[in-house]
Amino acid sequence: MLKKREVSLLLMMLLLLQSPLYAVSINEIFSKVVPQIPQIFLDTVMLGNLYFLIAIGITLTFTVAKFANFAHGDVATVGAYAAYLLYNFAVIGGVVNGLAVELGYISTIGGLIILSIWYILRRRGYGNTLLALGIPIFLTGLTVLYGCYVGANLVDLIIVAATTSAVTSLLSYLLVYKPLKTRNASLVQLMVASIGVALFIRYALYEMTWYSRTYFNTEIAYQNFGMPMTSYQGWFINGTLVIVNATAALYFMNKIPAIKIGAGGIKLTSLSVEEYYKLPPQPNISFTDLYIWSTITVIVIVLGLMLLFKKTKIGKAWRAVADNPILAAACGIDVESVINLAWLVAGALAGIGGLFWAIRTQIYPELGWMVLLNAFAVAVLGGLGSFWGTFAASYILAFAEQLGVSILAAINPQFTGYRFLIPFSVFLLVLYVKPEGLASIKKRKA
Amino acid sequence: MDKVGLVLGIIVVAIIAVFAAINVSYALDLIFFIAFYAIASLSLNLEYGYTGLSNFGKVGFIAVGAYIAGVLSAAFNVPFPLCVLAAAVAAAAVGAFVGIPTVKLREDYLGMATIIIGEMIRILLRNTPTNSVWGGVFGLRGIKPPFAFIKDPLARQFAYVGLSVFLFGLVYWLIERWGNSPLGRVLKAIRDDELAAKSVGKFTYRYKLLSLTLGSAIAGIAGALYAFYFLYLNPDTFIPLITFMIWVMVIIGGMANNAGVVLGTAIVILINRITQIAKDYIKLPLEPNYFQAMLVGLLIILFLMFRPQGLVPEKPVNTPSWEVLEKAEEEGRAKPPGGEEQ
Repeated sequence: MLKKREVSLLLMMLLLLQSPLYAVSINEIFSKVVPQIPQIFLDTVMLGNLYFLIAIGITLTFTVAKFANFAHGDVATVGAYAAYLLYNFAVIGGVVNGLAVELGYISTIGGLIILSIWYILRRRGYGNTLLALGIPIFLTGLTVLYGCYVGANLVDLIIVAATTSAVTSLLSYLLVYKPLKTRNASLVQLMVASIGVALFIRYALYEMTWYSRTYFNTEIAYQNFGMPMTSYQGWFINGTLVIVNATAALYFMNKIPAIKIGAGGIKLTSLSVEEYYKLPPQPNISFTDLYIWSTITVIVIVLGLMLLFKKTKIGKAWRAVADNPILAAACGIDVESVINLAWLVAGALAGIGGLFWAIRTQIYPELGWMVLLNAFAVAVLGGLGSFWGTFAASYILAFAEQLGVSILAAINPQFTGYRFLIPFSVFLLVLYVKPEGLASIKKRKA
Repeated sequence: MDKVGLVLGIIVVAIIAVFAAINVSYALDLIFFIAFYAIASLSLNLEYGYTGLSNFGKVGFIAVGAYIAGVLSAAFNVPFPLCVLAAAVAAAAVGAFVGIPTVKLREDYLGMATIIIGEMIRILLRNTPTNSVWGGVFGLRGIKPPFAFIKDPLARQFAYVGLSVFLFGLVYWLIERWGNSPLGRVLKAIRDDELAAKSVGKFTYRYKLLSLTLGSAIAGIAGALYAFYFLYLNPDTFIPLITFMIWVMVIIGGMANNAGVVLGTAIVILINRITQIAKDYIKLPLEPNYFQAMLVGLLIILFLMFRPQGLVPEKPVNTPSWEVLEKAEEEGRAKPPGGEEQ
């Protein structure tokens, strides 16, 4: 049960949140917000996917390293930029970019060299780090070469974003946090160091993107990702949901692909142009490819992580290290390799998240930083260090943000600038009312 | 101050003297910046150096102080001293608001909460209506200068910089007094081992909250000084990078050593200024502003790794009992202070 103080605080916050409502009549706001509810739910799924991809990395590193990593967002930006460069500059004007090919060969061969050094040294006990570094570098090289010679597609981009971010994340651990830990740095010092890493990466990206004209004939800060996106629109007509490929309709194709979902089951049909223009002008829902891709990615990642944690040996070792590293080491678990793996996985997920964020909005060096603060709100709401807590919290926070934005827009369109305040206020509310987050709910039942 | 500090301090003073010989107005500007950042970094020293709190939103508290002082002056013609006071009170209130839930949790939560509050304040200020006093993205204008009666601009600047240096001295004296008082000893005990401090009956929660509130109030004073120097405020100047500049100053200077922190502030500001001057003469394929920020990140990591105590390390508490002990040690008598009766 909530305490008296908590209840009073909640009521106060509710009253505060409602205060702008009294400016406009509540009925008017309801009439504007209620028709948008299907759209709000769709947007929630998408935004929640993107939050999840970033926040789960914070949670994963928190389980083994026990500190909040402020450099996580900037690690995500690195992956997004790697994918951006591969997509737009691997092939320029039909000619393969020599620099990209060189980079691809260098990292393929470099990865192979690191792996062979690992093979030679593995008996001596310090080869685990090399294995963890070698595989992503090798994969990066292969994907870059594939992107150069065959053409980059989304899977290629996801792999390259994940591997670059993974390498960055692991290097940041090996070069900064691990030496600091051996020097008995305090928690605050580790956090400050992670901020130092974040600043270094972010402004290094600024330097590169600002002076990019010499290499790319264009300035690559604040750019659209440039990936063509199919948009879909849906209408509720007589109890059936009609989803139409709106991009195809733009090109005046004779047969516009459409799906009808209703009482008669799911039917794949096609509409003619006349039928399309008979539909009401405002669609009930609209979404793009990104919604589908991000959902599939999140499902794959959740299943993969579940398999990793429940079925594999290293996953069990990971949980043991998260619970008690000293006891785990005493049981013969190789704690170092588990920690390396944790940083790799967290970095890879951050890279994928950064790529999707970049596709959704724009790509710029501060992208990761802006996302990071929201991701902190998600991680704290989930109760730092809990997997399912983070999963639930990302969708709860995304829903709060989408609903809040449509209410704000209904009151006054200028108020949508306050959108960032919604996750931040949720964060402060969680700290005041229940700092343990959602993870505490499950514990109480057990 | 030990040898390293003394040598560096002399170098810093010499560089400022050289600037003053070349251009008085520029040197005054430099001195104001050092005083402003020194007040801010002293407040961070009280929080991080003495108490071990991780405040990553210092710039937010500075922004609160600056905007409260600016609005009071621009819209209500409130005199300068009252504005500074109101700025301190407002910033302290924000500090307490963040501190109440987070100070009793792990350090991570305070770090995340302060960094988020800092960004929240900036976003709130950006979205204020542009036709009001707050000015939104166009910034706040119309702050009344405190020395408007002095007609000569250089003399006016001189008076204001003198006032800021005086305020800086006041803050320095206050924090030095606090640090050497029983309060300072409790704060240091909390930083070194909170459980031990609790077990000897100290309400560590209250002391941490007090430290955060006092630190925020001092940051508010710094913000008010900033507002009255530029007479114009823009929300986009209060970016998180400023916070980490202040962190670098504290880490370079040496935690829990006020003289060291002031030295660190002067060094960071001078590096900043000198690189900005040097960029006109040396052509590099680098944007110096971004390069400075990279340097800030690198300095944080390198100092934490190789010299975590800073350039000027922390000194034992300077209290009367300590002096008695030292004297007793000199005279070769191992006598506890104040224990003559037995």
